[in-house]
Amino acid sequence: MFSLPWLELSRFKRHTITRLAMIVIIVIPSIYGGLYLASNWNPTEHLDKLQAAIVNEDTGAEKPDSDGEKLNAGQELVDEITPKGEGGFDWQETSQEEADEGLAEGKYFAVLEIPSDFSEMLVSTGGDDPEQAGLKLRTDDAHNFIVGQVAGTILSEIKGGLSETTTAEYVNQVYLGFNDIHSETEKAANGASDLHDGAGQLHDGTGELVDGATKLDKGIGTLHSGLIDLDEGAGELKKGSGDLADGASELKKGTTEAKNGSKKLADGAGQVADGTSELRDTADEATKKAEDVKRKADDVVDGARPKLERAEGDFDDARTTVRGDMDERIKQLQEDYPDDPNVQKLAEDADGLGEDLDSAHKRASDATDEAKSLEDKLTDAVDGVMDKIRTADKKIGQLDDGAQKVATGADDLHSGLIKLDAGAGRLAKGAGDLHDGAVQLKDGTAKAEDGAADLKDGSEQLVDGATELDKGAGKLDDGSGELADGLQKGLEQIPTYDKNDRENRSDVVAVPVDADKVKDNAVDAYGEGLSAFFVSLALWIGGMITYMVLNAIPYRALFSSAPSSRIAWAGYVPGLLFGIAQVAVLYAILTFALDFSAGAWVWTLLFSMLVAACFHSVHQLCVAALGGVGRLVALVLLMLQIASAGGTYPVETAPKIFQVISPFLPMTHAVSGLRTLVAGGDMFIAAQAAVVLLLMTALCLVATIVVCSRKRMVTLTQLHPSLSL
Amino acid sequence: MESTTDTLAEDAGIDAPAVSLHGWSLSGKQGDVFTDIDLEVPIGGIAVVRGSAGSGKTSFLLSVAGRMRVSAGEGRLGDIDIRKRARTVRGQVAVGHVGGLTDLEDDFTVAQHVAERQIMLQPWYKPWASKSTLREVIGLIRDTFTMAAEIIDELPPGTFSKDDAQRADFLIDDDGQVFVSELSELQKFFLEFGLASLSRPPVVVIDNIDYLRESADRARAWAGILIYQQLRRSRDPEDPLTVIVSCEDSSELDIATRSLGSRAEPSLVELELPARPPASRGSKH
Repeated sequence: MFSLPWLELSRFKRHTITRLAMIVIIVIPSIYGGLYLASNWNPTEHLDKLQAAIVNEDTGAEKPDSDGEKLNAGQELVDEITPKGEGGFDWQETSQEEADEGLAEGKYFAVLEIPSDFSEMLVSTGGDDPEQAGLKLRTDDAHNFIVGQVAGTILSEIKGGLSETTTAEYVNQVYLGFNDIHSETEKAANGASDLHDGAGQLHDGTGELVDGATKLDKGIGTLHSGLIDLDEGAGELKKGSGDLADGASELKKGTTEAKNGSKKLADGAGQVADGTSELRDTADEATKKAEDVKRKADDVVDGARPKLERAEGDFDDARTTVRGDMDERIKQLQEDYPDDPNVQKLAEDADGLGEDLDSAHKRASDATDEAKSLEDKLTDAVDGVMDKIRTADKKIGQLDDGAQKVATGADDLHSGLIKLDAGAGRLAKGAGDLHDGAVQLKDGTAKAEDGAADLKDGSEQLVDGATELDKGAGKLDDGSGELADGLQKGLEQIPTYDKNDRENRSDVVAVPVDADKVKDNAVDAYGEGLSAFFVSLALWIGGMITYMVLNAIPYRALFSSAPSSRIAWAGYVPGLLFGIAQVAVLYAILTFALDFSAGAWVWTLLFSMLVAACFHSVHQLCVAALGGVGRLVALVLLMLQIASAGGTYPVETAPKIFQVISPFLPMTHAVSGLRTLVAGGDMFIAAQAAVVLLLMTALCLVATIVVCSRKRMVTLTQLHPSLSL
Repeated sequence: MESTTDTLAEDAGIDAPAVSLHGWSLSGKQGDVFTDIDLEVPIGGIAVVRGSAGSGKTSFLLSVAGRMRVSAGEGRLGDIDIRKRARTVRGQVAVGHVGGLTDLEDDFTVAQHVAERQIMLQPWYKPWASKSTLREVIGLIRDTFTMAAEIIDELPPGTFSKDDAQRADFLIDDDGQVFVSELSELQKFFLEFGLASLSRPPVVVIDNIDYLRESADRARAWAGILIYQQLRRSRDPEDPLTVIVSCEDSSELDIATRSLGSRAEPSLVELELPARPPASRGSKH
């Protein structure tokens, strides 16, 4: 059975050299990719094979706040990095000259110089004038540029380590400082608290002061008005005392006159008293005679009245007898002798008798009553005269008593007026003195009033001042309270650290960010990371080699009547088979010789084959369309892709032009897809890359078909090419 | 066989021309290649385009085959306008030999060449050729050679012998396992011619028959072409083969026609391309 690809391949079966050529085609990508990756598989792991010099000129320094303890940081650093396997390179302590020479010769790849003041500077971090300690790393780009870069990293690691210890040391001191701050602040807080208490008391006191001052002010007000009154009074007193003095003088004159007058009065009164005494004796005799008259009148009265009363009684008894017994017996006779005219006459006589009796009785009674009233009038008249006599007697007695008393009184008055006159003399003198005093008093009260007015002003100011003071004291109270609270809160926030805590914290602050580098989808080695790029490169070169040996299309078929698509396909399939073989061999070598491992093996292989398929289609197109020039184009494409595929540094770091062309070149997608598959990760990227590569392959194949179709027409130039490659 | 040949020769005269050109001209940057050529090749006829090296023979043949654009003129392949429907023309005109374009692959065996061409002629859904298919094709070729040998056998002893047929036979071994590099020039010529004829095209063009260095080979080549034309007519009367051949010197054709005599009586058309001043550049040939 024959098929076109197989026929194309069978061309190479004939000679040993062509068979070898096939092997070379298959192996060349492996050689290219394998050799490069092998030499760069894990270069950073072997940096310790590079010699580097360390020159220690550090003279050491005394640690601060210690008893002469010395710090030899330079020597410590040397001890730290010179042991094998530490500090990145194979460090050796040398002299400065040796190091310079070694660096120049290329014996040493780096020289680390520790300056003489290294320890001193480190120590200075805890002192008053901190300075940064300096280290110097020298490399020589003339010997190796990359090592210079790596050495930079190593230096920053060393620097990081040193910073960590020195910073921790320094920060430890800072934390000690915190403890001091804490205790001092505590004192301040206590003081503030005391101040607050005091301010509270002060505030109370000022409150009382305000009350007191207010009362004082009121009192002074009262005092002031009182003083005004007093002043007025003193004025009046002054005036009054003046009048008094005048009056007293007048009085003195009067009393003297009265004294003289009373002497005369006393004499007169003695004479009156003698007269009255005689009058009295006469009045007593008259009274005794009136009493006798009265007794005689009474005897008259008493003898007349009982005779009348007996007459009245007798008439009354007679009438009663007549009226009672006689009536009844007349009546009886009238009944027994109703018609007898004697009886009737008797009855009429009896009745006339009775009526005479009655009228007699009546006249007796009237005489009695009249006697009685006469008696009463007499009695009254006698009594009235008697009373008047007695009263007159009594009044004369009294007159006499009075006159006696007046006589005595006038004597007394006289003696009293003598005293009064003497007293008035003294009074006049006293009143003069009083007036003088009152004048002085008035002056004094006027002054006192002025003073009280001033005092009032002062007391008002005192009240104002006291109120202000009270307000101020209130504020002081509040403020000191806040201060005390604030200080207490602040105190609570000021941490204290014990020794362990301090050390722990110092370490944390020295390296506050513990930067753990976490790589997603980490590759095992540098070479594995680069493999995506170099596999792509190798496959591109494989494609170039393939179509250097293979015909891009079976040219003679162009002049048959076979369709162009068939011709293009016939040229592509052998290349594709070589590509697949290249992939297989390449991965076999990477896996078995370099410990390569892909994240997704099957997909990596399939994707790589797709990459090969794509690259080979590009090469077929180049060669089919342009012949030898096509191979040059492929080479130029290779260069462009190396620059723009982002195989080493991301393409974003390259100039803009590379970023622009990057997506249009297949290697970009080959690299991104392979990278994802080798390292693992988002398979979407790989799928995307695969789709792009498939499209590019299809595009190239279609283009090749078009090329084939056009190649079937020959131009004169083709027939007579000016340049044959 | 004779009668058939006659009949077919007559038929050729009756039908419309296989190729007809009027004012067929090609000029390039270096000047005119050929100008104002009128040519009518009858169906089943043979056209000989003569001209010295650099006279534009190859260009002319390719232009007729629809593989090079002319700058002026009218051309028809049967009913097909060559300039307008070059693609269709390419399917109808096979190129037997154009140096540098149809070169055989030295490292292919005869069988591989045949297989390759066979696969390409098959529809797209059949991208392979089984051994049996190949054997059929090889059998057909072998039959052709046998019949050619028979025709030569019938000739009066003279210029061609059966030996000539064997000399031309590239099927050295039964399975065609011989490599092309082991073939003689004549055998290669016939292999190319055979491959071109495999699709049974109406027209085959062959450039520069003179590349066969030996005069005897050239005569054999001409004779082969003529004999194959006859065989094609006899096998498939409806579809005769028209051949356009270029050469510097067609004297060997005369020998062939003379030798074959009535066995091959081609409707011969001759075209003389005028020599041009040598191009400033060297030819690839």
